[in-house]
This record gives sequence, structure tokens and C-alpha cells, in this order.
Amino acid sequence: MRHRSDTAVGYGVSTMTQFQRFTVGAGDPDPVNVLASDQRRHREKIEQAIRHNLADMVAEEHVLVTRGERRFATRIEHLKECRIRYDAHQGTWASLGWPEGQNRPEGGPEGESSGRGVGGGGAEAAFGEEETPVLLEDLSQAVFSYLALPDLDPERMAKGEGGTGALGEVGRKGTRWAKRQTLWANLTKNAYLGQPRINDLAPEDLRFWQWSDAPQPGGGAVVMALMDTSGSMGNFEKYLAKSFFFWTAEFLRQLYPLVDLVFIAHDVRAREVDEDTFFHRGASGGTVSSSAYLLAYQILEERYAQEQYNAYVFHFSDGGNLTSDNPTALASAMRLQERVNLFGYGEIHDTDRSPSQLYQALHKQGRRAVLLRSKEDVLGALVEFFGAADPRFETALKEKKEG
Amino acid sequence: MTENTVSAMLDRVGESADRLGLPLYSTHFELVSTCQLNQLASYGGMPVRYRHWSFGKLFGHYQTAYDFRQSRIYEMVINHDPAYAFLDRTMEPTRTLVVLAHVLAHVAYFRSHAAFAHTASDEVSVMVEHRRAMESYQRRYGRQTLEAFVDAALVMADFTAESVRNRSVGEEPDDLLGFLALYAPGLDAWQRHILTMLHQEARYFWPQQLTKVANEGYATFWHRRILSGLRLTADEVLAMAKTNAELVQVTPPQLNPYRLGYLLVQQAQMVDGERGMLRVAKELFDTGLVREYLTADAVRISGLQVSRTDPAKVEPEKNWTEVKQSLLADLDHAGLPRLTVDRKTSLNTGCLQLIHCHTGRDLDYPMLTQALTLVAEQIWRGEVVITTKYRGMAHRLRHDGETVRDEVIGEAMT
Repeated sequence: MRHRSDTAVGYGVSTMTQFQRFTVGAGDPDPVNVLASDQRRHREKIEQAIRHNLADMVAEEHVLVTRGERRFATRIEHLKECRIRYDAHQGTWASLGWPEGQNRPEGGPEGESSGRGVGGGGAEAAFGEEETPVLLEDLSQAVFSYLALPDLDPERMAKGEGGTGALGEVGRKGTRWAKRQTLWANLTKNAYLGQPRINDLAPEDLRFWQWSDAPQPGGGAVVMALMDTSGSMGNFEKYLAKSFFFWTAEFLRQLYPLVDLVFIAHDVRAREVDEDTFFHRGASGGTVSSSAYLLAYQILEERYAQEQYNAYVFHFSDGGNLTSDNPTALASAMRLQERVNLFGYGEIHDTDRSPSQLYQALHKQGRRAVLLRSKEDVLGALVEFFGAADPRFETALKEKKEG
Repeated sequence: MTENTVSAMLDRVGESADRLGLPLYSTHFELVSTCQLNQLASYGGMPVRYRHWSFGKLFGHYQTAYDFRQSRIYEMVINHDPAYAFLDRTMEPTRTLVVLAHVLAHVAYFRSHAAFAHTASDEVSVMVEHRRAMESYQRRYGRQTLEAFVDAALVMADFTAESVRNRSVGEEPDDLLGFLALYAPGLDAWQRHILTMLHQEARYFWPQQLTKVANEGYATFWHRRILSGLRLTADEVLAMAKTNAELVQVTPPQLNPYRLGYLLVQQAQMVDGERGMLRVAKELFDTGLVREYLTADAVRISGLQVSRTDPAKVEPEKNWTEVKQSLLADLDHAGLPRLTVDRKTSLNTGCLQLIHCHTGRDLDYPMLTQALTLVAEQIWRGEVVITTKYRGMAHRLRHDGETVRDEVIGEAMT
């Protein structure tokens, strides 16, 4: 028999049962969390690893498919505990599965067997043993700490939407009753009539606060996302563009809640679509980039006055523009980028073919144009377009890429 | 659930177990929250372990699995005298009956099986001591130093045993970690102490790793028997059926130890009767159970089949021996590779000579390189060499204090 007091778990008063073989305790209702320090340390390690693997994680597929889920599982190499184990990926040995068992998943049938303890409820853990659940917020924070909207002109004030402005004036109609002003109106009315007191409140005395459309102090901004959805944009190309726009949208929503987002998808024709369609629907056909530029310009002219809005336009394409459209595209791109604060052009190849004429022309003029070749380049593009808030980060990213 | 309901259920279950002849031992049941149960699970069932971030990681997994309703833990049993069992307080009362019977069988298994004849019966307090010692080292040497050392030591903690037998005092350690704790040059006393503590803990868990399938099979077999000997209400029958179905549920390609174990124990009882049950209870480990009782029929019933990373499918009926061999390979040595040390050369040359006993499966090579680096830098603090086979060739990996170099030393004998 051992001393139970040696353990950190408090035992409640025990109920004896038959022959005193079994005792039952109700447990400490408010136990000390002995694991707290381990959890804290693990979290610290996750945060470190996120910063270290940012470029990989930004373009992580799970991030895109788990919209709204706010939590996704990912492999973080740094958190993998180093052990001497059998190679789980070798095709030469057989493993066991039950009926309709498919291929051995990463980690193997027994996985990194953690269940040393006896018990367990049957099914295995939700995420693979070496997958770490990461909160989208954590990742966003790490990404956004490096980004900012460049060239934001605070002078360009946009009218806020109704209800967002300040309460300044009072009027005779409204929804929010202004008590003091109502009493004052009643008093002045009575004084005018010869009896200076508050009495006989009448409907005409009622005063209400008026919402005024005050200018937004942050400046108005609109971001236009232009994406090539032509047939030549393969899954990989679309994926990178979506990944970029996903982060752009997330970034802008969190840091600049009043930024307008306009989504334009184009093949040979451009059309404005809603966010969902933009991210989730494919299309086909050739590529006429000028169509998107023209539509973007038109929307800007119609809805976003130049003196009121900071405008940012990003276009992603595989560079396979119809040759006949190239002069028009270049001209309309130039016109568009004169009109906006920032025009960013991203070209996605997974091969080494030389960049398109459009890219070369923009690049020559010192405009922001980037080439994306791999998943890791998404973060690079974000930094290129939104400016690294921390110059050290930019150098670190370059070093990592070269190394 | 309250203590009283659990006590009342224990009376019922205990009586039925007595009638059926399952030996019962004094056990303390503790009702805890789901979160606490997940904590216990991440600690390998123990209320307290030393501090290490990997426990936090494991807890995150259990908690997420629970949050997503993918899996849930109902009980944890500690091999201890008296035995401790932790139950989820929020568990449905009807399910509790099944869980209690299951726990009693686990306790009986721990007490009667040869694998646990030499495990410490006071492991809970031993581990409390370990935590205290580790905490004092952390205060003295800093978290970073301690963590780096423990991270490396855990690489070697898998290699603590060939047998489940206890070493007598003065006897040379027959395992890798024990050897390192004694002979690694350049370790401070506190570092040797940490290796010794990890060694003790690993040895405590080792028999459980070797009897996962057998233990679950035995417990599942007995809880079914115990419950069928009870007068049950309709609700209880339904809950029992549901729990049993969940327990043996299959999520391919994972191997469900409950299902496989239950099948094998049933086979043992059918083929060998009482003698078979006695062997299961006392002497058979996972591999032994499979070797003895996984017959062609059992393979057919189980639906076990071999799946490969290459697409060639194998007909289970025709290849039941292959299924058996593959299963044995998976369960052998708890699924861990066998590593030994060439003591003489290591001590004479000052270069740690590790030997991987290749049994047909290659090691995870990138990980091996990392592991070697950790051991060389933190534990041995000098040159470390490991010989293994990789893709049919004999390899020697050498960490010379700075980098790891890999050389092919010839064609491997097959």
C-alpha cells in the first residue's frame, strides 16, 4: 500500500463498496492544471515554428479549404519529435489494413504510438500524430505583422456609411431620443409662451440625435482583385492566386475594416463577381487581360472617386495573354495604374519559361510585378505588394530563399 | 454521475465478475472531468509526469479530437497497487457499466500477467519524485539546457529493454539507455540522473507497449462476459451494444487493438478453452497471441488484409500467412526498431557504436540523421556511429562531432 498523498491529484472522500475492494472518489472539483507549463511551452514552440515556416504555411492548402473553421492541421517539422523509427513510406513491405483499407497513411498503422496508457475510446486522434492544430489567428498575426497598405493617402476621405459617423446634430425625427435637448426645447417654448418651466411635453418638443455621415479618419480605400480564370490557368496557378487573394482579403478585413473589395474574374471577358464565386468557381477560355483592366477602370470611375478613395489593384495571371491583346492590355494597364495608388501584377509559372511581355514591360518601368513559381512565393508576393513593415524580414526571406 | 451511482454499479459488476471467476483487486475509482482525463491520457495515464512540452502537444491532440467529436476517452487505468482508475464524470450512466467491467478486467490483467511481474507498484509516487527532481534541475541549469538534454534523451528512451525482467543490482545493463546512463563520457551527475529516471519510466511503460492488443482484447472479452451475466435494463442493453460496436469499429487502415485483441482472445478460448484463457491472462504478449491464435480462419473472420504502398492488392484468403507475418512484424518489439550497442568497442575507442538489427524494414533515414546528431551532441558528446541497412545496402552513418556522413560499406546480406 502506498501513500496517496504523494500525488498531486486530490482525492475526495471515498465511498466504500463491497468488501472494501473498491473505493470511489469524486475528484478535486478545481484541480491544479499540472500540464499548464507543458501546454504553454508547446504553444511557444508553435509560435516560433510559425514564424520560421511562414512562407510554407501561408500557401498551405488547409488554410484555404478550412475557411470559417479557424483551425487547421499542419505539419510543422520543428515540432516533430525526433525518434528512430521505421520508414513509413517504403513501398517494399506490407502493412495491415482492415477491409476496404487503402494505402498506409503517413505515420503508419500504429503511428507514433502514443497510447502507452491503457484505455482509450477506440478511434484514433483527430489529426495525425505529427500534425499540429494551428489557429488561423496565430498564423494571420504572424503574417500581418509584416504587412501594411502602402501609399495610403489619409487626405482622401471617403464618406462613411450611414450610422458609422458621429452624433452631432439634433433634429425632430430620428430613432435615438435626445433627452436634454427635448427638455430644453420644451423650456424655451414655455418661456416664449410666458411660463419658463418644463411642463406639458408635446410631440413638437421631441428632439432626436442625427447620424451624420462623417468622413472616415482612416481614409477610404478600395482593393480590386483581378484574376485570370482562363483555361490555361491550371490548378496550381489558380491555387497560388487564390492563396494570395485569400490573405489579401483576410489582411484588409482585419486591419482596414472599411476597405471595399471588388472581385473581377476574367477570361476573354471580364465580369465582377462576388467573393465566393471568385474563390470557388473555375472558368475556361482564352485570356484577354485588357478586358479586366477596362472593367476595373470603369468601376473605379463609376463608384470610387479618385479624390476620395485610395485604390489598389492586383492582377494575377499565368501570362498567357492573347498576343493580339498585348498592346491594348499594356495601354489599359498603364492607364489603370496612373489612376490608382498601387498596381500589382503577379505572374504564375511553375516552369522556367520566360515571363510575358506584359510582365517585362511593367518590370522595365519599375512597377510592382512579381513572378511566382512555387508556393513559398506567395508570402514574397504579399511582402512585395504590401511592403514589409520590418525590413529585416525582407532580408531574412531572401536569405532563406537563397540558402 | 456521482460516487454513489458508481458504487452501486460496482457492486453489480463485481458480483457478476466473482461468479465468472475473474480475480478482482482493490481499486480506487476517481471521477474526473473530460479535460482532466485528457491530461491523464497525455501523461500516459499518470496524474503527474516530469515537465516536457511533448505532453502539452499530446494533450492538444486529445483535446482537439474530443472537440471535433472524433474520439473520446472514457477511462484510464494505472498499473499500481492499489490500482487507480479514472473515469469521465460526464459519461452516460448506462455506458459506465461497460466501462467499469472493462476496467476490472484491465486490473486483473496487470496483476496476473507475467509482463507486469516486475513493474514498480508505486510508480505514481516515483513519477512525482521525477517531476520534483526535474524541476530542481530546471531551476539550477535553466529550461533551455534541460529541454535540449531531455529532447535528446527521449530519442534513446525507446531502447531500454530486450526483456521485461528487472536487472539485479550490480548487473550490467542490457539496453542502450542503461548503458549510456552509466558509461556516456562527459555527462554530469544530474544528466546521468535524468537518463536513469527516463530509463525507469520507459521500463515501466514497456510491458504495456508489448501487450496493447492482448490487454485490450482480454478486457473486451471479459467485460462482455461480465455484462452478459447481469440482469440489464433495456437502456443498459442498448448502451452496451452501442459501446461494444464503437469499440471494435474499424477506421481503415488503422489497426484497432480492441477488435484484433477481442478476436484473438475469443479464438484462444474456442481453441484451447480454459487453458487458452489462462495463457492469455498470464503469459502471452501481443506477438505470442498472434502467433498462437491467428489462424487461417481467424484471418478470414477478421477481414484482415495486407495493404501496400504499391497498388498490388493481395487476396486475404490466399495469403493469410502473409497477413500473419506482416502483423507480427508490426507488433514485434512494440513496433520499434531494435538497436544495440557494441560495448567493448565503444568503451575502448570512445566512439559510440550503435548497431541496428535489421529485420526487413529500413529506418526513417532523415530522422535517423537528426537523431544521431542529437545523441552525439547531447548524450555521448563525441563520435557516434550507427550501422544499418538501407535499400539493400549496408550503411554506416557517422557523426564526427560536426556533421553526419553516410557511407556504403557493402552489399547487405539478405
